[in-house]
Amino acid sequence: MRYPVCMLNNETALQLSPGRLHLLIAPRSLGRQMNSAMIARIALSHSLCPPGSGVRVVDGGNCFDARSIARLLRRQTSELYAALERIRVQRAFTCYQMLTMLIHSSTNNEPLVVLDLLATFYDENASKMERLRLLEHSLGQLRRLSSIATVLISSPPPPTISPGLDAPGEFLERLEAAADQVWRFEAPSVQVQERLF
Amino acid sequence: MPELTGWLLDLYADPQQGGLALWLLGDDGQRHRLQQAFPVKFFAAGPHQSPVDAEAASTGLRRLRQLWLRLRRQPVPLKLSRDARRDLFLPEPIPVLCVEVAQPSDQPELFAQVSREFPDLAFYDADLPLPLRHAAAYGTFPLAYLRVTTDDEHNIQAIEALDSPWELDPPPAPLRILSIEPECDPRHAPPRFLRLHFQAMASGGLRPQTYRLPLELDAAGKPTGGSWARRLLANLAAILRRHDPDVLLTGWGDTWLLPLLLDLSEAHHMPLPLNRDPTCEITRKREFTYFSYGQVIHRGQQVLLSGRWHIDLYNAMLYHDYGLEGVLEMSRVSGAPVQASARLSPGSGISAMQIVTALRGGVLVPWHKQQAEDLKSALDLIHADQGGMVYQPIPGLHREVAEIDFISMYPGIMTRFNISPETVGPERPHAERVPALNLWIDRQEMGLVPRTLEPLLDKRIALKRELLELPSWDPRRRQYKARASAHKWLLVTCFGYLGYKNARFGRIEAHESVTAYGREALLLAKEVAEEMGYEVLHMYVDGLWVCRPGGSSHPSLSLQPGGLWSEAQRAGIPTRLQANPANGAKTAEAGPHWTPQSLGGVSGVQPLLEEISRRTNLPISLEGIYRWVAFLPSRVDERVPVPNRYFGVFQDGSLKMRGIEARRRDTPPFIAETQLAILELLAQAGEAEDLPGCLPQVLQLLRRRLQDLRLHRLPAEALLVSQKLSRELEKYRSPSPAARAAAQLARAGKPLGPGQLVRFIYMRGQPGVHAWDLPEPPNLQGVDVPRYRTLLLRAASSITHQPLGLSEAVLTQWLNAAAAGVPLQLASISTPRSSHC
Amino acid sequence: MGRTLPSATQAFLQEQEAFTRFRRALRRSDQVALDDLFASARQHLAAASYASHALPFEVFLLAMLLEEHKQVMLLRRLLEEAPH
Repeated sequence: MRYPVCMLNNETALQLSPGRLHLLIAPRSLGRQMNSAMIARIALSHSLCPPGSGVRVVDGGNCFDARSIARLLRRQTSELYAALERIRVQRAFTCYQMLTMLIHSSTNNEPLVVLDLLATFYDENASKMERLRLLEHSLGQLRRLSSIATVLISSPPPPTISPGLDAPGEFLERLEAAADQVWRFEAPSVQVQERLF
Repeated sequence: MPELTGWLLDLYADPQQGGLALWLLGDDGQRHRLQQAFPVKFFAAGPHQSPVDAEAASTGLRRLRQLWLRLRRQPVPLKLSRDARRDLFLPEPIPVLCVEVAQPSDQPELFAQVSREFPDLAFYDADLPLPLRHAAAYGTFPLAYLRVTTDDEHNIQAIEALDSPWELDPPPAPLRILSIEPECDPRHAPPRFLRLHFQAMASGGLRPQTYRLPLELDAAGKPTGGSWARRLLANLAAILRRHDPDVLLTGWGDTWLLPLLLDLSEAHHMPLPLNRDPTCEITRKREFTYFSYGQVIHRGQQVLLSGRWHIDLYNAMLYHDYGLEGVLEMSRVSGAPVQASARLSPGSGISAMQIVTALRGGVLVPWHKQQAEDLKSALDLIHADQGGMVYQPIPGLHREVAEIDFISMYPGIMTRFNISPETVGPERPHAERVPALNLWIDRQEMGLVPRTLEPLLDKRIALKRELLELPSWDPRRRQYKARASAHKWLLVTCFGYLGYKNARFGRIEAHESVTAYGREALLLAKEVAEEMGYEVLHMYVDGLWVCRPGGSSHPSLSLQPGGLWSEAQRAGIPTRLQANPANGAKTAEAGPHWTPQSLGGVSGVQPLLEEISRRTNLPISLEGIYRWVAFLPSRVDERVPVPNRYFGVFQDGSLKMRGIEARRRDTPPFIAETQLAILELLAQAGEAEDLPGCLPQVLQLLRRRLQDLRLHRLPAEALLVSQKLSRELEKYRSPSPAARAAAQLARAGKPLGPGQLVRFIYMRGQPGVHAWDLPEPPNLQGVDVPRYRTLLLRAASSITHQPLGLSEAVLTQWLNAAAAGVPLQLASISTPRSSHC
Repeated sequence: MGRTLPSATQAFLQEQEAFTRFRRALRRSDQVALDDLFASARQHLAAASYASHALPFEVFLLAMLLEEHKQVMLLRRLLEEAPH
């Protein structure tokens, strides 16, 4: 599937619905732009994020791009700072932290975006068995959360250079199997350096 | 009951008799192997649970009960009890199952089983090195001076440390040291013999002795047949028995020598008493590669001994910086065993210190840290996610500049403002707000991190004070410097460690708070300096460069009309720099003469230091006053200043430089040396206005060095480039010179992996390189002279551009013209024009 | 744990790059002036970073203006000091 990035601002494209686990797979730089666009869209959407609530972001890949989100928001609202305050983020640097964050994610119906979920699971410090166990746990938590709120997970394709890791692709396969909706994107064949606005 | 005093050498689980084996270097000159009963505890807690989730809490208790039953049914002797303990990241003590294992050697295996079967439980104090447990229980540390009471079977009844790691002049241990080094780098060529040297430290009273043991290796470095190996093993065994060294100090012992000796010993069935403790196996750790902050790090294999330390000079962190004295100091203050301290990063030292603090305070040490970042708004993230304050300097040559630095700024901030994982959090009573962030610090109780760092900071400051007072001939100077260096590395690392993902007591909010206080301190310092009439030229994280207005200049060679320079102009050689547009203002403002106000020497700057210290609540000191200092612009765009790229000469004539080629590890020695030689010439020139006077000498030096290069008069070592491989060879799309050199080595049967250094020389033609460690030596006639020439001129112009106004292009054309016989001479050079700073 | 957001320098370069097309269509002499403007803003990266504004380009614009005003002040002074 190949969408132009501008379609992300269109309410009809990549429709998110509560009760479903959405997964977005895109190469790193494209994924970064798409993540920002999706977070901005959710933060400004009255249906997904009613006034008084916020969007929660769990960042597994140290890639939450606050400034490009700010630029996108600024184009659509004059209340930039209020919108930025509505987006709340926490970063996980290990798979243990990722699982803890998902367990502690609130039980209200705030939309949840998990950025680069698998990055913390590509970690040679823990055994593969342990990492897969933690991933299964995390997926269980995500299913629990998706039954009460809108959940979007993003992930780039598995890494090609990975000293000390075997078969990183297996993690993405499990994630795909758990998702209700998978959107897969490829890098545009011609690199056009365009900004999102 | 026998009583012994002496130094603690080694300590490990005794696999045969149980308990601990503890080696004491006795006052009586004997090395005593003692035993001590030492049960170890670890803890299990319920699965991490949402604090409001009662159901999860009861699941947790059920799982703990299952673990209890499981542990009662297994054969390892242990005691089980229930307890409530403090997890640093949780507000209240948590219920835990305490498992006390009678024999320390049983604990790792038992824990491995338990963690496999109960992966959902949280474990604490589960994987701690025994020496750290011992340190927490008895105040011991490597080379601690101990009083020990034993029974007749050498079982320790009582143990007491008579000194502490914080002693400035601990009683020196009379260590016996045997160093073994091959005659050449074994990666480069097969060594023909080993050099051995024995000596005793302190009052050992033993005479030094040297030996030479031949090796017979083939071209690929493999042992050849014949009787030499048996002779080598027999001789080496005799030497080890005769001297019974405490330290085996080797060159390439981890990666080459000891593996070779162990293989030979096995092949010839001749045991080699490398271990002092014959009941223990020698520990061999495999090499490994990992990613850290986007860098590939390669760690060579390791060979570790029992009852004796093996230190490989070339597989030891920072050995070149602080030597054995520094390694020992690292061990003393961190409590980590010597063989580990030598090989691990200072981050592990900080970790060890924090673990000991936690154990002593009854705080649980998590096996896997679960604690995660608190939620923050996108706006708070933008504010918090910043590093230290880094200014763009005002480029150019500046005279009479004071550099002032906050003393150990980040550790100082942690202790002064009580920054620790458990003290940082949201707004609450009695907490102080972190400057400019939505974070608050509780100041009521001293945190784990400041408690760990405070004695180290105090020791560093005391040592520095001593160093200032010691006369230059005092032999303690060298020791003190090495120790101060070990402290410096620990203190430098402790900040990064606070933000390290696997740090057991790391926390990102604490990390962010430290930089926030750092930025605040630097800005306060800037404000104080400006209020007191100083001009701030540069600021870099924890340092400021200030001068009095008028002390600055942006020189360019101004040339007298006529004279021989006009020849150069006719020959089309640029002889004058363009004014720097970005600094046009400063140039235009220039007055006709130097009109600097003096800083008034060290005492003149004192009031500034005192006021900054008072305002920031942090200690600050004068690094020195430069006669002159040059801040360099970007290589790519001359209008753009770059932080931390500068060089200068202090008033005592010493040089300081950052960010230039001579400081880079991959610069060929010949180029680094030439750059340093130019700097020395400038340093000798005297004041800033005298600098242009040394231009003829600089050019002469360059011409001589270029001639050496062209006529192949340089030794091959001088041309060596050392670079790290960033990936697997097959992963390079267009192989870099380093990758091509590594490919040559791979073909010659010497493969290298990511993170390893490859050394090579640039050659003409294909493949453009010659790997240094190839069996055949490079043909020096084929050296890529133009490439080295370019590198040399680039490095030279880094130095000549600012103070002398000679850019790379001008320098190149000037040298070309000189080589072509154009009679160029400097007729006269005016002093650089001054300007407002 | 590494930084999450691009540094002020990276943010600056991103902003500058966003104007590649604009720059390309300028006359050569105007390109030089534009490059100068950006280079002058770079002198204030530390301040821009400390400001940690959500939209850093606003700060970069102000930095350019600041450098421009310094030039104006200087030229005004030179004019006033020049012998009539």
